[in-house]
Amino acid sequence: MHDFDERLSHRLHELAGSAPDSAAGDATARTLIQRGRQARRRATALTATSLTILAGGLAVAAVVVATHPGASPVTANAAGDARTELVAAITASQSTTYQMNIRLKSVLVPGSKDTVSTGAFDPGAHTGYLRTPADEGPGFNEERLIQGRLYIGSAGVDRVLHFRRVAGRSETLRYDWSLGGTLTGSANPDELLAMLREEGATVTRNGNRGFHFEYTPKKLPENAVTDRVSGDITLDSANRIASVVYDRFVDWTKPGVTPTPVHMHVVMEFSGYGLPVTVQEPDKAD
Amino acid sequence: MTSADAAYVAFVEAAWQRHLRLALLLTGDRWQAEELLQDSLVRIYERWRRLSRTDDLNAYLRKVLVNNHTSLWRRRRRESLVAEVPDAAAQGGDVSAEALAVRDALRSLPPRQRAVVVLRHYEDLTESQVAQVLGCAIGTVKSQHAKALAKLRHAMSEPVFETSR
Repeated sequence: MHDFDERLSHRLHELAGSAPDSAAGDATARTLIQRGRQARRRATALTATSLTILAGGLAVAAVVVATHPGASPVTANAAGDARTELVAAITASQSTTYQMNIRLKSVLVPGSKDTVSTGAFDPGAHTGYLRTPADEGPGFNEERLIQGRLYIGSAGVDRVLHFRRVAGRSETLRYDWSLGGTLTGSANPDELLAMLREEGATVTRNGNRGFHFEYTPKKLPENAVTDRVSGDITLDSANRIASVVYDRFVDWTKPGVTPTPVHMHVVMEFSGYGLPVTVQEPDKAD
Repeated sequence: MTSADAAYVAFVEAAWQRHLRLALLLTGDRWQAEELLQDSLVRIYERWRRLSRTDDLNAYLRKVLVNNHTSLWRRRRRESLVAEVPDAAAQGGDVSAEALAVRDALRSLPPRQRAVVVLRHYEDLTESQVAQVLGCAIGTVKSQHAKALAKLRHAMSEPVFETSR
């Protein structure tokens, strides 16, 4: 038995050792860097824009920028305008603390795993956290926001977090890792409505507790040819946002590259409204 | 070139030969091995700035490489691109007949079983470490290992091995 194991090991080393010596030349390393940069840029560009637009125009606003504490919810008008009702729900959701679970899936990438971020946010106290596991391996990323002081941390295979402090004051968490791009926008109802109009988003009622939206961003990401976003928002019994589910489809082109269409599926769930959010300040940060 | 890129280049140069051999055992083909290693190193680059300074980068690359191999194999099979590429580097050369038998037997194994064999008997990892690399239970490693060894024994003319003590 042991003899078999030993001989198998010897033969594997013999086979591996039979490979002619090969070194990664400088050109190879540079090619790898170029490919890595392209992959990184593509991932960022393809996610950031739609999310920015969504954040500015629609549902993602619910997790982006805090409204002023105590802001008055917008009341739906007599005609029951779906956009106004949606803004009311967003405002109601942002007037209190909440927990969130964000699941991002790249549908067209074979074998890709869902990226699931979990966190909580207190918009009034500018306090919260967001944890996102690495795509590969046991590492993870974690953001901690404590009264406007934002720390961004990464943990590798040893699962030990190394934090760096982001200069200045931050109003909200960043969603780069969970949603693929930094979100911008405002939950101010007036601004939100203005953006909805500007971007021409279609918002329709979907039952008693839901909205459906569709969107074609006017400003396309770099190299994108077409970009479509559509999704559904569901409210809870208190008319706060319970979930936002959307799909994004992007076709893109680039000389010399065989384009792969992008289809992302994002599920955001909100719960624990009103529960206290406490976040521990990191012991050490660069 | 940034300092991060320079560190990456140094890592690639240091890790290349060792991991190319591992990739060769996993794929059984020199060119596929290079492709697999390059894809894995690109993935590493994408996360380079997020990797902890205390990470064992070689262990991380090994994990990416092994898992990338399984998914590449799956993708290729789906796309019917598993054309047998002539492999000059592994056609024979200076290796023994028994080593060639091992190579052919390895090629006949499903990718996960192949990975278990290579990680256990080439990388010399424990079952627990193999489970960690593959992201599965130790029980799975044990069962895959047992199945793989049974096939290898059969394919490698077991009597030669068993009676040679």
